[in-house]
Amino acid sequence: MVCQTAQELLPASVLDALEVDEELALLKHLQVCAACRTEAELLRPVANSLGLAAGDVGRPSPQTRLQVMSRISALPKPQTAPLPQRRSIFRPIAALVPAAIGLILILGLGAAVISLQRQIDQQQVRLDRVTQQQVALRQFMLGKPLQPVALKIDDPAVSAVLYASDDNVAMAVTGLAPLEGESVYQCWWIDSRTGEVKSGSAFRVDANGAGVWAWPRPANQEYDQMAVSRESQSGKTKPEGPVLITAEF
Amino acid sequence: MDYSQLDDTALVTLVARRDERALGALYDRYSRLAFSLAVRIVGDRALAEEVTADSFVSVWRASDSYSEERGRFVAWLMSVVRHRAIDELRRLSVRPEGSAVELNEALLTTAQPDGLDDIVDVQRRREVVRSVLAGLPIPQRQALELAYFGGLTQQEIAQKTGTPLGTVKTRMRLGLLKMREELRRFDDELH
Repeated sequence: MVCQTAQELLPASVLDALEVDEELALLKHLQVCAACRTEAELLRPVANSLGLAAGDVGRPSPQTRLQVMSRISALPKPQTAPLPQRRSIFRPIAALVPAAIGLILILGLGAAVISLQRQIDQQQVRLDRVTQQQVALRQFMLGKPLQPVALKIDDPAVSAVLYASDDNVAMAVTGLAPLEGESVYQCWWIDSRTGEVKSGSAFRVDANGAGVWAWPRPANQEYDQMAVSRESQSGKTKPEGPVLITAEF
Repeated sequence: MDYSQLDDTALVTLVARRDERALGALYDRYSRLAFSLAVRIVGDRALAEEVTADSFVSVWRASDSYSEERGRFVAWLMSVVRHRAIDELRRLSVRPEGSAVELNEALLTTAQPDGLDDIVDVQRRREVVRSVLAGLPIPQRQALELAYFGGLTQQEIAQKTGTPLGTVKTRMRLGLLKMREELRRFDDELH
């Protein structure tokens, strides 16, 4: 794709009005073209400003505010890492520190699992209307039939599509923050009935926050949900970082 | 601390630190705006209240991913509300038929949000956006509205309006570029 074509597509892209094959082609161009990326970053706030044109209809009911405050209060607070403890021969209570740290870790893991499950419970169905997405991603799936998967993404800067066959899933994403150090984006397979969580593939995005991947599904077909979280390193057995994308098969 | 005196960026920073009162202040400041957009898209007040609530909970969850470099908070919030509302539309497979023509009537009304510089700025920006939209040729405005408020792709807009796809693309591009030009002029005057 040349810049002129990309520039013509950008207004529709920031309005989410492109067909997916066009969007993927544009994404590929943006990965290598700083000028067009800058243009996209300038256009996106313009598109978002259109929301200001909605006519005033008054305030939502007071119950809505109560609902919001109640819901955020019910969400688990992020766990703070325990500070390193100094041993002190003068304070016998220090002997309890390892047990306390263990308890904090256990509670932290429990909270992370509860957080993940709550987010999945609140998942809203994101229906995809563009059948051409199947064409665009089919190359990753060895020609097997694909089904679109509903996604829940809280961060509006992140957009993703996910397709699944019986054996594989394929995901294209843009807008995720590039990671530093050992941090990774981690996939999790979830059995919502038993609460079992299994770690999947870890991945990183390119400098533009984009990427396309295909992964095999676990042999256990009971996993009916998938989530992507941001973790400080790969190899974790439970999600500890924020959950960014959730999917329900 | 008087949260109502803090600007948006400060409040979002506090929200990222899990300060519930900061989210409450943002809600008080922008829930009317968010609710209006949600009603505009889903066409139902009860459903729009759900969308509004979900959106502010999303702001709570994703606040650490917001940065000023991504634009003003209100634009980010509008994006959250819009995506959530369009998700709801698609879930219900319902698109309000009258949505494309409601805007003219909506232009006659104005919000009365609380004070503060951010709110004043938003109010002025709102007037600019409305004015620019109203000044666009109707086909261009319609293309933008169907994409933004209706969640339609260019292909769907072409089918819905019986217009060649190439024409829809041109209208959408010209309309949005015109908006950018006017908003840039507004920002230049503001600073």
